[in-house]
Amino acid sequence: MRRKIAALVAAGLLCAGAAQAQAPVDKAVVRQAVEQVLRAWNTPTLGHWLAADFAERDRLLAALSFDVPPTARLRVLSIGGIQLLEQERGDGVLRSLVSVTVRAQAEWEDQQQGFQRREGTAEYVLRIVREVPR
Amino acid sequence: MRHRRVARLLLVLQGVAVAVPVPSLADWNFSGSNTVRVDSYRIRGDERHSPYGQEGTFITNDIDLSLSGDLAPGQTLKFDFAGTVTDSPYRSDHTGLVPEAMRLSYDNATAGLPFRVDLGDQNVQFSELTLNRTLKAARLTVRPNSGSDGRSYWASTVIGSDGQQWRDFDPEENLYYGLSVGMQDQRLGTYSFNLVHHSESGLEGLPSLSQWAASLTGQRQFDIAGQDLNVRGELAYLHGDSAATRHLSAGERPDSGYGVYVQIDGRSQSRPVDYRLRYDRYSDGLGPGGSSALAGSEALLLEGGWRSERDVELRGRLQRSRTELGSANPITTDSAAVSLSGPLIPGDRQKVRGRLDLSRQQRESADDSVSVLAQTAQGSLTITHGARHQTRLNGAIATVDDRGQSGVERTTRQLAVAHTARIDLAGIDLTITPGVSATEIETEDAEMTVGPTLAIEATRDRERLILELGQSRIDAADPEADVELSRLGLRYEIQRGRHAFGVDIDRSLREPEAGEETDSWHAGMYWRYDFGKDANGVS
Repeated sequence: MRRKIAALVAAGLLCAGAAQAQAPVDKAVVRQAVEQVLRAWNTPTLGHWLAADFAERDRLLAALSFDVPPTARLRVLSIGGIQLLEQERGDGVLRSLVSVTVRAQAEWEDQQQGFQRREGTAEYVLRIVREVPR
Repeated sequence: MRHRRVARLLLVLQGVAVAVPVPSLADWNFSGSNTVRVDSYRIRGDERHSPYGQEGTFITNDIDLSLSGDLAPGQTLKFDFAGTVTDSPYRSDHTGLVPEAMRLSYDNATAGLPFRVDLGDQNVQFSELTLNRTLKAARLTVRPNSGSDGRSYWASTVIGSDGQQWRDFDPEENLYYGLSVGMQDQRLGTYSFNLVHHSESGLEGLPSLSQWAASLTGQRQFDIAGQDLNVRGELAYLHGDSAATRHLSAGERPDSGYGVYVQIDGRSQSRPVDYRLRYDRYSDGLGPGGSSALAGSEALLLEGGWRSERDVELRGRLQRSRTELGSANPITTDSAAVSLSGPLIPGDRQKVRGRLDLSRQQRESADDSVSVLAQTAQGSLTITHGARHQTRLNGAIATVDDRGQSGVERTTRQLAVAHTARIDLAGIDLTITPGVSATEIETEDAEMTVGPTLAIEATRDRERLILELGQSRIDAADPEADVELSRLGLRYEIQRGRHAFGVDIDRSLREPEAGEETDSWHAGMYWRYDFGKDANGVS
């Protein structure tokens, strides 16, 4: 499962931010964000975490409604490389687009087959917004 | 033996990491961390029902570092690396050294033709319909001087591969090369032309793929009738094989396709109202490898929101999408969602806050062989009693009704209540959250899951302890399928200067009414060393 955030004429962003130094992103914050989002997977609150411009938002929510057992939850097995993709400043905030590779597995109880798990590795793209002095 | 070899290598790496000197160049930023961790997994009882697929003790060393600075005024160099040395199957498919992300960027804004070079892992976003992927790539971007204020030009060319790991790197398996040229003007807007070639080697009996995708994008802001409008869109053409139709025989595969989307984002200048309107249409032959566009589909989306001065927010979303348009039996999915949130006591916005989400999705095929309706209602209430106590109630009911098959319907009811108390105990910030949750699923094989939860978090200065306990019982239609589940999670971390030490413990106990129980343990400990100028804000 790949998760992407829509491009906003990104080459233009590249022009605008080309000469600016990037501030490091706190990796503990990224890990906490990943765990929070994945904890909401397959629950009614997942939609609150998905960006409005996430291209596969509706397909993902529909697949969870129709195709995934309702009690299935994700367990994070490991959080891999964290990469800062883009960063922009404005209005007292620092917006960072961060890519994280996560190894996770869906787990649920099936009445016929007992405990079930399906493991997978996926790349998640998170938008981390941090308040900074103006 | 393998553990010893990896352990020796890790100790060497850790020693190297600790000894890395801070660069003496004052303008350079250097940051990173090195984490050594040992994880052990043990299973007692029926291994088939354990969350862990493999027992054993595994050693991992994660390292990430970032170096950036100015070689000269206007010339910036940046290097990022993240990787691991591991023998853990929970961390990587590979053992040994596994580079995960590597990137070198050089930007020169003072050259006659300002340019930027990016090598390695990077997000390449030419456009939504041609290339929007994280690639292992080489990219050159030039930014010719426009000669006029508020206007800039760019041209970017890339060659790279998607879905690859640095170990076993085979760029030809999934290769892109492309070009993007464009203009950004404060008054006229942003426009670009994109051309991308994508090839994939044959997979699991499917033929190899070779395609060209070209597109024009445009984006412009308007101020009309008191509305701030942002209009953008893209028109794309694909020639060659489409990933969506590669399973068809050669005679049935279309050799070209087109796609278009238009999106309007708006905001009222006088009222707290925002809205979005979007239309997408992609033909059967459109399946660019670098895009998430769904071939043979059409979608119309309308979304809007309103926020009052009293912090009440109302948002709504309507979407109709049609998929498999090229087939004799296209599928239509209608979605509607509305959410309302805000304070319930007018005089005190934080005392009691509520949220209600309603959604409805209906999926139907042209011949009615597919007809499924999903509806969800979810509500939450958060009551804040002073600065130290908060109670949360969450309830949800979801139904899925397969109208094509009588008796295939499912109703899920969920209720969760939790109370959080914050206590200052001799300098320790203690947060205790007891709760209870219940989930009832009504199907032909109905089941009920009920159980308490307890979360405790204690923090002091640079120490943190988190303990999570959960117990639940699944009462199934067949009493022999009843299961008792217990979970324990413990995390502890202490930081001293640049060093952090931590322990993670997880236990899952599964006790079925019939059959053998499964007791699964994971215990891990780690040492992290943060180095560089940005670590803790010291040099």
